[in-house]
Amino acid sequence: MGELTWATPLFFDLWAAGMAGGAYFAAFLLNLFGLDKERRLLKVATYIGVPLVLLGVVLIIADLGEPLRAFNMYLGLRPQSWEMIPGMGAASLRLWPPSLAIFPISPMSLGGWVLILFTLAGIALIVLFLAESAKAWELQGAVGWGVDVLKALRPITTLIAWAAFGLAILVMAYTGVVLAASSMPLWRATLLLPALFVSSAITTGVAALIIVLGIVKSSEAGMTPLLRSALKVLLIVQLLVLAIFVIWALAAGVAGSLVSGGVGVVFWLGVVVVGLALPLVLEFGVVRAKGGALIMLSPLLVSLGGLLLRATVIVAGQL
Amino acid sequence: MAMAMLIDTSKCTACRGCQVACKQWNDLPAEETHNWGSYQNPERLSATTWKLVTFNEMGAGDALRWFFVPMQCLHCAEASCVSVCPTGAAYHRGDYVLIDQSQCIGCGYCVQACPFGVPHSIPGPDGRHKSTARKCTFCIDRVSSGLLPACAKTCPAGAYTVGERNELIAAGKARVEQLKAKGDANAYLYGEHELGGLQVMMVLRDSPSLYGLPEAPRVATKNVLGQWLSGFVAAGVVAVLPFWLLTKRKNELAAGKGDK
Repeated sequence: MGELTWATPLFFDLWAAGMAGGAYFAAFLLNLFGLDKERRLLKVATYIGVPLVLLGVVLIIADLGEPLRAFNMYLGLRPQSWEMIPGMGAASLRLWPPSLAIFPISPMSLGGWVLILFTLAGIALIVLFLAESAKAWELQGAVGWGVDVLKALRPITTLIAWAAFGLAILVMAYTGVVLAASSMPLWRATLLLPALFVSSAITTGVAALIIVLGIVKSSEAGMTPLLRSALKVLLIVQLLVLAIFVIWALAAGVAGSLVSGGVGVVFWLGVVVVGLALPLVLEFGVVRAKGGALIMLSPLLVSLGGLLLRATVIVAGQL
Repeated sequence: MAMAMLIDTSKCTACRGCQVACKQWNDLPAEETHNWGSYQNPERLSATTWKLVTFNEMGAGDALRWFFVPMQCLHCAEASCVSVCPTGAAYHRGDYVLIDQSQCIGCGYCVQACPFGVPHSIPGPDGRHKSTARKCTFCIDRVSSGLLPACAKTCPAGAYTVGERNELIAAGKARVEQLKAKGDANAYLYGEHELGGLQVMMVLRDSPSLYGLPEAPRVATKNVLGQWLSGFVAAGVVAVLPFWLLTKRKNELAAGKGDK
């Protein structure tokens, strides 16, 4: 067994970022198709999405060999961006024109930008959403004035929401593409790893929305039945994508480390049984019959399954 | 003029002089090693072992064949590490592939991307902490001063030739013909065309897979557009399947109620 260059923190990052993107994706579509006209779900998705993505970013940075240099992903600070100040003998950093580090061929470079832009769009949406519901006349001075300005900016909310939708798709997809653009046989042999991670991201995102709505028990909880019927279809889709992925990988002769051995046990029991099959059974049968305490069980299992899916694929690819 | 390197593995005696010379010149610490059932020691390249003689034991019919490869960074023209690096730290300096140690953030992507498993960001099997990614530099500090790379300089078996790449290709092909005439029907010059041409080429007595080298290495980002598309198609399918269908059904139900 080789040493694992990519291990624990990365599982959680891929999981958290995927869930954030998936929740936003689902909520945006429900709003777009007219099932959530007041953007209630979209607000919830944004409120949980930004912290989740930030959690992911913090985890990635902590996992770097040189965490304090994470800015190298964004700023092209090359020797030529330092200038000598004539007569002072000191170096100064030339900040304009900005030299940005963007490498379109590198999925990780794009992913880093996507995470930052999605976070910024999410923060902008949060501010605009809060301003929408704020009662400006109750707020005094600068704050109340600021809220008035933000309310005037309301038309751009839709624009930012669309931008964040595009970014959410990229957030969900980039993790699979990062793994696929490598020399590790399990990751690169099929064209399905990004598809698998995207479908898992949306499934876990919807599960996260159900969990949050269940906890806060606010007026948004009326959306839960809708999300639950979406979750059923999503679980079936994900099971299909996973099946095709495994068959394709088996046919290519690269699936051994995923479906057998210690990782195989976690894969079959954790990802397939606990993360997909059991929630499907619960959603179609038990929950409808009993409800109650079991109602939160299936989204929790789906979420756990998403984490284990990423963990097993990442570990098995490096064995 | 960038110097290329030709390693004639048929002459390598696996003395590991190159491995030690590399450690000495690059000031790389020793690693704690263990017996894992092979003379290959340490088991693999690491952030502190940039040169490693691999011992490839292969059964060929009744005979056991034992192939040695003085493995190191092969300095590809189409380098996967360069294409995936998110900071531009991995770059081509002339024909050599280097990792700028002041730019590298230690994300480990090049470790996963290299088809030869060369760069590493974990310093040896006993290393606990990740570092920046490190690998062979073609001894650029020596070569740019007109010296031979440390490994080539020290080789007592005459396995290394350093010189202009076209001349080395000619020499390598001549040696391959020689080996074929002596009975190695599958003798092969590795690196003439692989990944746009390798700066470190090898004369092999048999097919590359017997030497632990990929037969047809591909640059890691070769399919990257297809992979992005895979993610987008999945997002599109999921957008239509549950969400759009749900909406449709709900609207139909609403319309049905309206009629009554």
